[in-house]
Amino acid sequence: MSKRKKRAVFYVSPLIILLVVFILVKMKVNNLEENAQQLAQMGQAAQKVLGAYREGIEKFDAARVLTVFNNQFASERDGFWTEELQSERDGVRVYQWRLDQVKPFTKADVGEQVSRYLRTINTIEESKFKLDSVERIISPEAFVIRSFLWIRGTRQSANGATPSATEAFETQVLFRMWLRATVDGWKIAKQELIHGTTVTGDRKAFTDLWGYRNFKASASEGANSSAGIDFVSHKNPLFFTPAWNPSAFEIIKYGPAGVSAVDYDSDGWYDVFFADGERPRLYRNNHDGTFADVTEEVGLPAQMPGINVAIFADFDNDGFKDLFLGCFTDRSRLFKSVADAQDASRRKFVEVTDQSGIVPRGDGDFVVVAAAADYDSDGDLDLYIGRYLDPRKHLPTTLFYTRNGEGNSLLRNDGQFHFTDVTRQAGINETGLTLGVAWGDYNSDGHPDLYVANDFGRDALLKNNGNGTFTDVSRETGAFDPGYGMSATWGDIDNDGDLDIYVSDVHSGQRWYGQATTLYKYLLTSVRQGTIFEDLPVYEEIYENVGTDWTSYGDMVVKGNALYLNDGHGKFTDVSETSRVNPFGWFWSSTMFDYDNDGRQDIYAVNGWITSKSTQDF
Amino acid sequence: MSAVAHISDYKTGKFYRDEFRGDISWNGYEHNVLLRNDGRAANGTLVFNDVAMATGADDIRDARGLAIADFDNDGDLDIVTNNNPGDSGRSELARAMLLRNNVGERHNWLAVELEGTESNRDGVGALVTVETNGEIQTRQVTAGSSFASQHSARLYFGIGEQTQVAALVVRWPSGRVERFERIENNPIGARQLLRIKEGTGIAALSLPAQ
Repeated sequence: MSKRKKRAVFYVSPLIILLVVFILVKMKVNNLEENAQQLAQMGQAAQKVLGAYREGIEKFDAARVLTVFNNQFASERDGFWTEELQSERDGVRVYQWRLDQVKPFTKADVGEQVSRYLRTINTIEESKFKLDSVERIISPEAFVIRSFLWIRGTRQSANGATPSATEAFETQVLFRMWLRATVDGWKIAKQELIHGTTVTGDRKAFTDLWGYRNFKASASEGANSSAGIDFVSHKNPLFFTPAWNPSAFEIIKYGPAGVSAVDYDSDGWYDVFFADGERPRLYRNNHDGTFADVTEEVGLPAQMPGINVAIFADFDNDGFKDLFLGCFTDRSRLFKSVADAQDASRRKFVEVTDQSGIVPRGDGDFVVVAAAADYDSDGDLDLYIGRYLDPRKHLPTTLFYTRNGEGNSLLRNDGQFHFTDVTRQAGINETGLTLGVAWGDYNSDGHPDLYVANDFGRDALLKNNGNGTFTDVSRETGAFDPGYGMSATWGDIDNDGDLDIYVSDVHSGQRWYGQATTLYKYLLTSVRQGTIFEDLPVYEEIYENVGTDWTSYGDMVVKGNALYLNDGHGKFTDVSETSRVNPFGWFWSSTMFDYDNDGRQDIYAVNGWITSKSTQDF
Repeated sequence: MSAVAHISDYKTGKFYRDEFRGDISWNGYEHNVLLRNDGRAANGTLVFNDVAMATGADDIRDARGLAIADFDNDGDLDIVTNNNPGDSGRSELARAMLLRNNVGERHNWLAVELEGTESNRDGVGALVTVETNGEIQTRQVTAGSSFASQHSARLYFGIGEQTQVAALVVRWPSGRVERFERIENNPIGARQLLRIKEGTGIAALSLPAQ
């Protein structure tokens, strides 16, 4: 074959293959698209039904609840809701829901079921009835959902000491419901209790110290701080200037920021550093139950816009913690801890960024998270830093598999406060929008591995091969989390000696089912907006991981926080659903810790995205 | 109005703008959760229950960062959060939250601080296992995790009503493994701060007091 012919074949054959693939995919996705449209309509219908149900509950009006039930309602097996005490300790009671007088249920029985329940409640403070998922479409006129009822209020105390005493309660119930189209719209034709719990308590295991002058004080004294901590967060002012106007992804301004608990001066008392969009602050623990703002006293700038994360680590092994500050809109900074010349018992921070070899990504650094570990086992601490995207230029490429971040970095500590970016040599190519990084040796081979949680996309478990390189083992280990990763943490939650993973995600079935998201729709949008070539590699990667069935992939994306249990042999099992550690909401930081010192690690997870003036949700 | 109804505009950025959302919240007014680990059920499933409301840990603000440490040296872990200002214009929502733990101190505990010699001095990456009555608990020293946060490098072990532990094992990043069953011929008792220097030994102290 001549050179010219060869070249022609080289260029034409991939085009033909692409065309064939495109036609095949289009046939398949047309079908999917139809299903997705139907799913979206059903999702919206279900939300309407649940909304009306909730209104009835809030108004203590069982008749109103019944308006969303079909006249021909028939459940083979249902009962009246009762509670069985499961545990009582430290002022907290947990009840499991049980069915009483089990029998086939009619619509009238449902009315009695709801009335009886409402009679146990004195007041309702808040309630939600959410669509968890559309489980199955039976026909265009019938489908099955899972729904989640959440009620918080007061009821008569079970203590029985004073008959009139009330107690705070919270109820969380998961139902399976069969919805059927009728002339009056969609109605519940059958229902099943999956599980329900009610929790009551005195709400005194923790005290929010706002207003308290002292950490140990027994009551608030109207102080304008929490034992001296008067930190208030700020948006990054640079986002309101032309140079950093986040015109492509405006919502970035609600991102910050992290917080670090550290004994920075090694005096045996934990201090706190708050990262911030404008004014990060360091509060020193005064040992007397109060804290004092020492930011400037220790040599840190009064203003440092764009600091998202602070990592205190002893990079030079001198016994005192140095400081890395990860920044979004400016370079990230490195500070060395030195003795205070005036007072040898105090520490100061001296900036060593210029000599550190840590270079920003252009005019900013887009850093959100960071974590230190000795990845190369040479006795000093290295750093892994996670970046987001440039919000002036870029949007997430897809709603659930975004790979257009600025790219994370592995920084190797060479000693003398000098670091070398070894990301490429290490074989790490993480370009997700990273919001969580955590080191943990999951396979107990002595080399710390890395979990990376990515927003708008899939997370990654990177195995440390022990020779300076890493391999993405997310899928083969079973730790593949496709959700909106917002936080990652390792810990032995089942007390078997190995490290498990907990990741924060978004659990919001209603968003997903409220609209039709299919490969076809995404491809079309990409073509329309001229980003198809930019996006193709991502679609290819998704296809490799999950095929074309994006509807069920979507189900995985919004299933919420995930707990992966390590079996001790390098494999993980996702127990989020069975252990019910995937509550509804939009979670950020989460961690494992044993709050009640009972020997089992619990989970605290913070929840909430943007609180605006109206409580109405988007 | 639903944002997702406009999903075909997801490439324009419109969807992510304040003016598009108006005064409506986006998963705002949501409570933090505290999922209490209640151990394994008969079928082997790990059971968790959300006790945030019942314990008073159910803050409603838009928190981002979260850190855990024993700020008052009473033997239990307290909570601090960094809360985003959001879009409500209410400055109180932007205040940090310091949450004092009133319950952990009622039960026994052990605190452990490490100092590496061959390993990095902070002992980051070290795994400490405490053995009590045939049960084990393991904690890792970290420097950075969760969302943009860092937790106490001093590790805490809750041991309930037990007054001593059978053994304490440290797996250092250097590969060294050290096992301690006694401290100066005494069993390892509860409510102490154990300071361990790699390859050098273990010392039992009290947590620093006011």
